[in-house]
Amino acid sequence: MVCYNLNMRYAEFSNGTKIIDGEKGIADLHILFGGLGASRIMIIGDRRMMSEGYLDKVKERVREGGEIAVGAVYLGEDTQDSESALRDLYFVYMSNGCDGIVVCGSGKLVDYAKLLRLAVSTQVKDIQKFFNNSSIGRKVVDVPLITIPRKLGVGNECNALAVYYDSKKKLSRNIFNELLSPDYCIIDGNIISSATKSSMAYGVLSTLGKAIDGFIAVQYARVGIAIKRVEAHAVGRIFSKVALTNLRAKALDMLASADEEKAVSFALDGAYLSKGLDSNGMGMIYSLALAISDVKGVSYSRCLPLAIKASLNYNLRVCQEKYSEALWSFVGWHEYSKYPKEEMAKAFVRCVEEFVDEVTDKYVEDRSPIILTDDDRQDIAVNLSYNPHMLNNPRHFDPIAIKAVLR
Amino acid sequence: MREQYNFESDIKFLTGKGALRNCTVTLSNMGCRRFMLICDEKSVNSGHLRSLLRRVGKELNIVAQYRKIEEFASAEDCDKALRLYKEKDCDSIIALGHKSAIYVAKAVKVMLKDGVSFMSNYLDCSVNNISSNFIPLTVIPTYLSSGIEASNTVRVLSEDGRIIQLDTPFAQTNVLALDPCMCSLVGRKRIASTGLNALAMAITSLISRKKVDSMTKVYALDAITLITDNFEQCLLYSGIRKYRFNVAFATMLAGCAYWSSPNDLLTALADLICDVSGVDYRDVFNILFAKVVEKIDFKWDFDTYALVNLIGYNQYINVQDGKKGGQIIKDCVNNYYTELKKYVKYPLKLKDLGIEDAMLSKAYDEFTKDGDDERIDFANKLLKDE
Repeated sequence: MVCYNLNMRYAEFSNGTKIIDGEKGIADLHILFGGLGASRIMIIGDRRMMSEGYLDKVKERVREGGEIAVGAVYLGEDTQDSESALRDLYFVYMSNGCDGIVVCGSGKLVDYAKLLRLAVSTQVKDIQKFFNNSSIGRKVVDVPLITIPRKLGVGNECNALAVYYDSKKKLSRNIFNELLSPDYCIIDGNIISSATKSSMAYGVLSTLGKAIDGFIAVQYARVGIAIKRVEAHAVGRIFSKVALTNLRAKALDMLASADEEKAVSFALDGAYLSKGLDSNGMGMIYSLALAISDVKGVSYSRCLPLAIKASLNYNLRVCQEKYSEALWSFVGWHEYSKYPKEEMAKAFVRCVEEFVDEVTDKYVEDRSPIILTDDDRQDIAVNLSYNPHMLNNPRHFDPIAIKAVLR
Repeated sequence: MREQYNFESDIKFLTGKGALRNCTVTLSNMGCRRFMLICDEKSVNSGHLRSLLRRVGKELNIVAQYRKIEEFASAEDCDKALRLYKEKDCDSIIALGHKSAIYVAKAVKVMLKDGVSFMSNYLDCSVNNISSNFIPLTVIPTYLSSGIEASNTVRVLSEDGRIIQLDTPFAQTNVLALDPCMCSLVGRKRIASTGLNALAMAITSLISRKKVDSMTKVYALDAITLITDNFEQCLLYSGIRKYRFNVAFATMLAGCAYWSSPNDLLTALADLICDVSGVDYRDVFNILFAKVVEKIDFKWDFDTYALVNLIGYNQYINVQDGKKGGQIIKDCVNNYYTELKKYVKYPLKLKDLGIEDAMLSKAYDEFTKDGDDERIDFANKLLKDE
């Protein structure tokens, strides 16, 4: 085992989001908003949640006690154009005099709610000013934000990262700002367990992808007068280690049964992983899935199996030691000792690939393969070069190798 | 019973070189404009205050400084600090230094929330459950701590010598900045007791009967790995800042894990013995913890298999097939103590700390005055052989 030495490198971990599980979170929505100083709430949700009556339940809970009013209800879509969605949201929020947001949904809808919070609280309406991640948004107004994720494993419900689709460049921009982390994230078992098996399977793959990314991530550190790539902070790796441990058994057990408790437990593990790593642990799997999604116009989740496999193979040569260590967590120490030492990294890749195939074959409905042409591969490589999270990847950016692993 | 919310952001950790500099950005994002600095006399004398002001004095608008706190935090300090905070119209607090400064800062935060002017009011009434205004609290520890910086506990001495103890989520730290430039030079014995304290807190939180979230598990395991991997070097090269930083970091994580699921009986007994005898809390806690591991029959209901997967192995933690989780932890603690004896003469009994029988009897009586069977049994097991 490698000795655990921090070398005093700078690290940030754990953002300010508080995670609440169970029914009591929804029941206490009015208390939470009251405590956060909001009095007129904007509810953001999607049509499916509206038709299921979930948004009405949220509305009812917000109004309980009579002190907090619902200012507006906005129904959005997961696949909307970012610019127009944010414009609409900003208009609805301001024109209705809202001072707090609750978002029920997943994917881009949560990102839009977070970006709306950023725009309002910094009084910078043009989100494109935050494309440069070094720009600091100074909080001027308090905008309480509570997220209620619809799917498990997405992770954006409790981190400080939002994706904005730049229609001019035709690529997704990652915006990182501390103001993007929600105040509370409520994991409601009813809604999480009502998702389809296919959606849950994608949630499992998303959590797996994040855990692997976080495990192998690197950082830039100043060594003398030069900037060098060094291993990511050890604390971040432990978050990934905890998430990887027993992930296989837990995920298969949860997918096989329809137990709400197991789904919530898995969702909580994923949420704590996202909270702990925040945006520091995002790496190639995340970036690649996002790039394929942008180029092919399919959902991010559908690209995950391909992204996980391609990224594992891309990094295999430089991650021998880390993959061996990850194998210990992923398969457990009994099975770990069965593999010969020089085969451990490959064994990890094989085990993950088998797991991804098993989950996809058994539970994913739309199994049609994503076919990539040469032009697509070129576009994906260009797209990746814009993603700052690729800098976290241990292997240097090599477009030819990326195109090769996507073949 | 309703959940008690404090409506504040969770603890954000900033650690390593540049933590202080980056802290200014975080605080700016949080909307803090006028800071009050609370620090103890030791930190002023040791130059930590000067060092802090040199690094962040220009970026942070520190409008008030309260720096007369001695080794034990008193209610008078809290009242004076509160008045200063109000006079200078501050909007956030920075606590620098030792335990006493952190306690005063937390107390001021709670008093501001409740609109209370005197700390001694809490002798008769408890903290109000209703949250009003949010006062960001940043803690910059300068010593190898007992994890107080991450806890929700406040302990101050009232004018008549009574202890005012608050345990409330409203005393939560919001930003915790651990910069290596603030790690004081300490002796081997202090390093040993702090390291052991971190190990004890981390293990106690893992075997806690209270429900813990995965964040707590991560911190506890991280602290165990960090402390066992760096303990020897830290004792051998105590002058090197890197090793002290690792131990301080482990303590911070262990404290965070422990204080989210504290062993109430162990903490209460250790507190009582410290109050009666005046010895260091960490030493008392460590001795009691060793007895807990030896004598108390825990259920050890955590998953052994997962535990071994998470911790891995090193010279203190021997992974052997067929061993139960509890046994692995017990062995780890025993190995650690054995190693400790090589470097420092470490007290194994409360009497070695200079605590007399009369003091122990007093603590025993105070601890068991409610007549609760569980408390009596606990005290008997831990104090009888003393």
